Amino acid sequence: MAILRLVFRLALRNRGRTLITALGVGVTLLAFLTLRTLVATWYSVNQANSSSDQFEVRHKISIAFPIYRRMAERIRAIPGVEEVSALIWFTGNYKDERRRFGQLAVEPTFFDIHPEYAAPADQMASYLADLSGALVGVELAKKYGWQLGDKITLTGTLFPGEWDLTLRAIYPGEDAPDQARLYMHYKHLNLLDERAHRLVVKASPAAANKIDAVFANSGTPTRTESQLSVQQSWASWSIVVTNAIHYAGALVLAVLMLVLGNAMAMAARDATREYAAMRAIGYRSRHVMAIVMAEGVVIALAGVALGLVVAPSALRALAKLLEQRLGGSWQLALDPGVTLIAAATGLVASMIASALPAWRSGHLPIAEALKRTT
Amino acid sequence: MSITRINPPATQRPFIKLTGVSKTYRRGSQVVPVLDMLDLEIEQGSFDAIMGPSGSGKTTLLNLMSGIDRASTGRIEVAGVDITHRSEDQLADWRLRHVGFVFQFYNLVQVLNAFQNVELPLLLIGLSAKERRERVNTALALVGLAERSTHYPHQLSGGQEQRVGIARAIVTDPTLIVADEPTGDLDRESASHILALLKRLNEDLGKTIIMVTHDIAAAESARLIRRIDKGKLTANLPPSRSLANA
Repeated sequence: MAILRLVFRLALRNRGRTLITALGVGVTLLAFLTLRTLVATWYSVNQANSSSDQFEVRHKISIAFPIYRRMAERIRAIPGVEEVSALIWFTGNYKDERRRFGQLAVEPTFFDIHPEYAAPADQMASYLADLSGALVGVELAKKYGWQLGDKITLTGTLFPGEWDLTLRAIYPGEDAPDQARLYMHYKHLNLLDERAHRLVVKASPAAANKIDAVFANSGTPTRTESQLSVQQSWASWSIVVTNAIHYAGALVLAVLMLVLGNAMAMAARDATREYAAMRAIGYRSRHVMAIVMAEGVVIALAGVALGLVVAPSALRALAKLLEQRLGGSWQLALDPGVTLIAAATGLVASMIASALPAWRSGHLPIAEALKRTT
Repeated sequence: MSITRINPPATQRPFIKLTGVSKTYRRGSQVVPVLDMLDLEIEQGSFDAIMGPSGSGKTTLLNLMSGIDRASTGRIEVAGVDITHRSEDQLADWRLRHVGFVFQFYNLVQVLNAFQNVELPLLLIGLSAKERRERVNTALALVGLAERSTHYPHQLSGGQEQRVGIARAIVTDPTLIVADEPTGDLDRESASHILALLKRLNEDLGKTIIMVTHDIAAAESARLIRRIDKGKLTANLPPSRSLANA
């Protein structure tokens, strides 16, 4: 107990420096926590999207080339295909450029393939009955304060003009990975050539494998991918992003160690004579090393606590910022596992950072250390 | 408790015995000799002052006898224990039980008050909080600072800080007290209080005291003055003769 009191008092020897160091540790831990939460959220969304009987058909060359709704009939004719539905990305702006969110023009059958985006039956019926109707996710409705019956005007970018929609349904989004999408009717776009960006297909894998052969020699060759492989290709790109985030996390930890290591080196240097005197009166090298390391851990603990207290608010603020800048719904909740990893990493990093100053304090020859003026 | 009187030994075996002790330091590629084949015997209960010019090796000699530095060659025995070849941890344990240190600049832990500073060595001994409190209070009373136990070093004068340093040195009831320029940072009046205190520890409690000093007046408090120059002991004189020769 007395030793613990000694460690606390030594840690508070220079209160200004201790406070700044703890703040530094807190901020770097917060950055680390945020990056890890982003990665964890990213993975959980990708896993939630996985499904084995959902396929997407696009132009073989690129998604920049259109395919056509009429092709759905030939796909439907393949045994094992249950449903086909045309989809187009609307990409409009709501009120101003920054307020973007996913906007998809789909056929009613889309919701047979993706029931996770369907609204309650009465609202769904209302949406299906209104060609200018809109169906939105609960998060999006909450964000803009939309109520059923409200007018939503989108300014088209791919499809120029002002598009007035009426909110008819809100999907609760309990199972939907993205709770901030807007769906409108494909027919509302009134596309004479019936082009689409994708055809969404519900089929057995064997049936899906036959789709591309049907259009192989046509003017619109296709490429059919399972939802899983779409996500895997997305994931392969996302691996680059998540790796970058991991590297950034490692850098953050390195900064943490430098901040703490520097502070501990200064603290140990200031106390060179005190530690030497302690060793002269009977403290062993390892006692002094333990005291210096414990001092580092106490400061790091204060920083970790600070980071954890601030983290929920910071993540909420970041989620809001991401929604404003990137659109969609960002649920950045503090995961207990991530929190534990961050706290443990902070503590381990602090011990590593304190190790060298601790070793020096414990091993500097006593007679030499007693002569030092600082 | 606690701080016991040490009676003179029945035999005349020296309390501290240095045999052929040399000490060299390495400064880059240069080897600097500090002590040169030194032989020395100090009796139990003595109060010796070591004097000499700067760089003569007096602090090095004190460090070797107190086990915070190691001889390059030779053998050092304190109270019949050969400390020459002990490990760092063994030496730390030995110092804790047998040696009290008084430093020129006190070396108190600035964030601890007088009581906590004196308590520092006792934290290693495994005493109960009550036993520690009793011992610390006794030591502080002995140096006349019982009323200042909650004061921090920056709230004390230099003389009072040094008295806290002496209380810390005696709280474990060591047989040997080493003092390196204990009055070097003090005014004349504070210095005389400290010297009187050391003399009391020697005369009343029988502590063996070895004090390094530049100050002839301080050395006069000792029973014997040992002169050292260029790493060799040159004379052992009683205080009055030393003063005459100064």
